Amino acid sequence: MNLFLGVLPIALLLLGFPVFLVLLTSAATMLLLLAHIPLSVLHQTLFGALNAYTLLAVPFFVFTSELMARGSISQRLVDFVGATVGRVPGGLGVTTVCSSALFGAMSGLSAASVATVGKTMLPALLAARYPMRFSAGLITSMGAIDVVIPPSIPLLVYGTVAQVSVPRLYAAGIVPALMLTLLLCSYVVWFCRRNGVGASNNAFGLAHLGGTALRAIPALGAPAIILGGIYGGIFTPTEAGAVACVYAAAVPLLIYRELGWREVFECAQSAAVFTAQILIIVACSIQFGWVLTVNQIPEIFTNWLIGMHLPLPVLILAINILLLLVGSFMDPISAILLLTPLLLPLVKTMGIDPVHFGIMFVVNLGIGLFHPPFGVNIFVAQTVLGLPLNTIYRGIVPFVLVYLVGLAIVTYVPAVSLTGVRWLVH
Amino acid sequence: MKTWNLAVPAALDNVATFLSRLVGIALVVAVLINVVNVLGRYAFNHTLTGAEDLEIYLMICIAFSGCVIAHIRQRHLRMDVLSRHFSPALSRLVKGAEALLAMTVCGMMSWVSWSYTFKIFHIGSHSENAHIAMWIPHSMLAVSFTLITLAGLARLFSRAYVSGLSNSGKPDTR
Repeated sequence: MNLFLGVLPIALLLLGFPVFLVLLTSAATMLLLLAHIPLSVLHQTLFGALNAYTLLAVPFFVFTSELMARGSISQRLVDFVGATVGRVPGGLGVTTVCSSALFGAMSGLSAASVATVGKTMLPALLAARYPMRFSAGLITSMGAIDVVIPPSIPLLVYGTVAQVSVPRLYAAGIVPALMLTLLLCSYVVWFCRRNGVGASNNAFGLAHLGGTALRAIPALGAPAIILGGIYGGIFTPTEAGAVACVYAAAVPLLIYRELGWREVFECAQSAAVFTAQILIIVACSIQFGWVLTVNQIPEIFTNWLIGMHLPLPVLILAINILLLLVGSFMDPISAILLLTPLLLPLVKTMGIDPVHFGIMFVVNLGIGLFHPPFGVNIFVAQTVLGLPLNTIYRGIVPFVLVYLVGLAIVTYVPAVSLTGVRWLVH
Repeated sequence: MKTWNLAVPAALDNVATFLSRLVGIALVVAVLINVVNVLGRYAFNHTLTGAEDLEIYLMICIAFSGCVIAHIRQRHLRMDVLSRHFSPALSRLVKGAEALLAMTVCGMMSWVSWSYTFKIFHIGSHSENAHIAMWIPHSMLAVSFTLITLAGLARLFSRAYVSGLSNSGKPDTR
């Protein structure tokens, strides 16, 4: 019976059933067959799972992202970053990475960044004679930074499930995100120097920089509101999300005059439906986690792993490999919701800080987003940018290696994650 | 045959369109309540009592109504790594199994949720701050699971009707 209940969710997932249905079916079956608890608890846990104020930040940040992805905000950001860093060798590549990180700091969604910044940067990279394979790899992989940088939605979901403070997680994400950005930029510069591509002919112009900065200032206000608001003690993350929504609507509506009220409402509809796709899985997974806990499954799993007496670094390595594998088959939010109830008790027993583990978790899943064969961003780049799959697969390999270096640093040097918490959270 | 073949998807699409407007409005209202609350706190040293309750119930409305939209428009998140490579016959079989499972589980959940909602209605429970009757947000779950079950039944009925007519020798317009 236990074997059947263990195999059932995996089999349904592999057959391609919706994740929410798999979780709901598994929870209901376990409750009926094992726990002998009234079924009304299914309703109570589903309702209770969403009865959380922190989760309101999810629809707010998704709405912000929808608004930011329309109009010319990404082009203005790219122009500004280009004027700032475009002179270094491989300046256009560096601009691509930094623009993506900046876009992530406004939206928290990886695929949106790949699609939006990618649409602007790919033609420019190809026109500047960057190799197609390199450009495809760069654009597909750059979005992974956005799941680490605040206001990351995967981190928000992890915080809710693991009951870890979201401001602490966001503070912890800043240094690793900057480190990953720096690693990617270093690789881009090294590649361009070695292969003699991407030499910049533009002289640095203060007037040009000032002009692009002036055009981008309204767009740059969003990350300032989100981070400044949270760490200045002005807003909670949820309130920061709501204020960012109003700001993100006001900029294209009133300042740039690119969107109308109808488009803003379309963004709201599309954000609400996307949010529902996430929140229904959140609700069902919290319910599933509750049923697992009632049946003491995380405890059994933890005791089994501890009983193997593996050294801590090996155990962490095994967790990393598991997360990388899962991340390349599943979107980060579903993976966080499925695995957090199983892994967190183990991690706490080993004495790892749940905040540090959260960052490690999302960096792994971020790599999974563009990891061959099935990373979600590979298909975003293929569909939205029309890049050939073979070119993307070949182009991605060096970027996977760069991210793995970053992952090793995040995993084995907890200070990288915890420094931001010490600086920003009192 | 044409009527059923076209009417059911059209009706489902209308339901999805209506619900997507509803959740869009719910999201805008939630954002506005939150921002008004923040402004009120800093500008007038006053916050709206019960605003958090209201926002959370709007989010619950978004989550469950949006789930119906995602179900009708086949947009639920899933791991389609293997299923993308299934043969058409196997794919149809898996889709059929998925539809049956969704109807069974969501049908059971709608029964459970309606029972719970009626219980809450009879108790007359209200939320702590906004004093909203609790059967209203709880009924969101019941309505959504019922709609998902009905959508599944409508699709099944329409397909069975069409395939029954095509087996009886009449031309199949699918």
